[in-house]
Amino acid sequence: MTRQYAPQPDRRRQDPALSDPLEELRKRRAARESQEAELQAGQQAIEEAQAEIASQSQALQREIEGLLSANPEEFVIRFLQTEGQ
Amino acid sequence: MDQRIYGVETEYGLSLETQDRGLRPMIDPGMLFNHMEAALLDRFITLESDSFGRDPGSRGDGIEIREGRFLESGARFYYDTGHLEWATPECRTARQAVLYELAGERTLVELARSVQMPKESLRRLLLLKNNVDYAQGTTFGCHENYLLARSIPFPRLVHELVPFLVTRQIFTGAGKLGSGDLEAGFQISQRADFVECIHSNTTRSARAIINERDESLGDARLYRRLHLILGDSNRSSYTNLLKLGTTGLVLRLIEAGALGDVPVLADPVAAIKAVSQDLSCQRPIPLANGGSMSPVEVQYHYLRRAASFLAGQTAGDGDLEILDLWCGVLDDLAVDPVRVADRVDWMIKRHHLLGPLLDQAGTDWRHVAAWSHVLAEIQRDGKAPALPSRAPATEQYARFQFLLDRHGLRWNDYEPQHRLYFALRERDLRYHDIDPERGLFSLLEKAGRVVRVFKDEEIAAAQGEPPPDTRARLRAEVIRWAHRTGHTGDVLLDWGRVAFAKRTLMLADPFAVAPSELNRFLGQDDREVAIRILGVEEAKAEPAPAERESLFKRIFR
Repeated sequence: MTRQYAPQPDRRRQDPALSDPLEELRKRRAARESQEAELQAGQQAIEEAQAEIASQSQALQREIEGLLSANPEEFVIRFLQTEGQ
Repeated sequence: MDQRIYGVETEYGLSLETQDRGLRPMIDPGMLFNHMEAALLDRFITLESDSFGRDPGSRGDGIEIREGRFLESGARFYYDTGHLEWATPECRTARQAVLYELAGERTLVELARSVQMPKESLRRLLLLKNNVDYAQGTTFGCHENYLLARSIPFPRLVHELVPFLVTRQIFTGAGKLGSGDLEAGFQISQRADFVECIHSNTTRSARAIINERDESLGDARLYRRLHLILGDSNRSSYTNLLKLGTTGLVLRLIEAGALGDVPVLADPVAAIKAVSQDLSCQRPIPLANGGSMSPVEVQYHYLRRAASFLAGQTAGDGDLEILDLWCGVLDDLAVDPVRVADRVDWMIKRHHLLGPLLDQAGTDWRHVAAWSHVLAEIQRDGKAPALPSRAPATEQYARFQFLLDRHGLRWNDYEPQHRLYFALRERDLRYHDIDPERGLFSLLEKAGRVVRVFKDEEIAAAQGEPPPDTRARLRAEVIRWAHRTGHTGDVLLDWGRVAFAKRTLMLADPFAVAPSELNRFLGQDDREVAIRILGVEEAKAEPAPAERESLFKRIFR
């Protein structure tokens, strides 16, 4: 069986997007913008997570401070222990 | 030996906290111990402990020792050299020993909380599980005990174990402020500064990497008890498990003669301090053969030997767990020590408690270290524990100007650095507060910053039950029997013996859980029959030569 040549239709005529070079640019730009939005969302998630960590760390530091004395020097000097083993 | 006994003795720092979270000055630790002992008698069933002369009431240096009590868990509560001390029961594995150490901490917290404060201005009895007092520079210990085969010659033990012990601090250290490294301001170990020799038999001076004390507390012909006093008191159970577990594994290799050559250190005492001061864990330590290895490399050497050895053995789950933890911690330390900030005490403390305070103050470790040096010099000059809190007059402190110049410091920073100096030390001390509601380690644990090893239920269970597979179980049974039959005043307990009405039953095998004579004894409510049973079994184990020598010295000094 021989393969018969069949001419293909001109795609540029059938697909207006391809027929219009500006449309191609727009598609590329849309893809780039979508990528940038994803990146930005990722960055925002990272920043939020970092802020959350920082906030947790600050909360933890506040909790720590709540357990400390008002006069660290006196605390340290009064913790007197005999020489052990 | 395929089996081992592990035990830990911890000396606690004692104080009284006031309502404003300060400390009361001039406390009497003996009095605080009395209150704790009274609380113990109220809340737990116990029996009197008697070391039968092994721990004399006074060592001739004015330091008081009180024998204390044994508890149902098999643990011992006592008073030694001005400290409340807690010894775990005999345990079969490192994991079990860490669990019983935690159970002891929890019991002590319960006792401390039940002590009535004599004044409204006082809040609570404070118990710190640490090793230093920053005001006077004293130290107190956390002693590890490992039952070893008597057949291991002591010199070989020292030769093969010392490089491991000197370098294990990279994952066992509790962290301490102040360092011989003038740029660090912080070091890995609390005890390294106090180690003065490779081996000695003393514990309050000339402290050694390996203590020579040789009381087996069992059949001395078969066993010796390796007593290590160089380790830190750990708050992290992960760190503690690494400390006991890796040491137990290395001892197993030594007993099996499977260690081969070890990297012998040129100067182990200098090395222990150098390793403690090296926060990178990578600085080379000089070896006796002229070469050098970093602390991490020395540990990898032992780890590889342990892994090869266990590959050819029937390794238990416990051994494999320790190998896994050991490998993991070394891999992390080799990349960046901050990666162990969720597991290893010294880095937990530095990363989560001390570092943020430096950030808040807008300074760094180099400046803190330099100022610590200056402040320590000024303090030394004043010969008083307190440092002047106001910036000193230039003429008064002119002689310190060269120190400031050397470090590039300005007197303007004196006051903030002075405040920071003490704020850091308070945080360090409070890291070791064992009260789970107030201690800073516990706070980090609750905040999910550090890895937990045991569940609360496991710890609670260990408070009232002894390990099921050591002679601690017998001790618990004797305690229960004495309370059931009303003989609490007649029985004295030691680690390896039960004395009843002047008759003594030796429990020389720490692995034995049911000598028949003790079972017959425990079956008797009748005092006379019980005495007869013990009388028949009365015996004394032959002390080992070193024990005899120690006894001789004690009697005739």
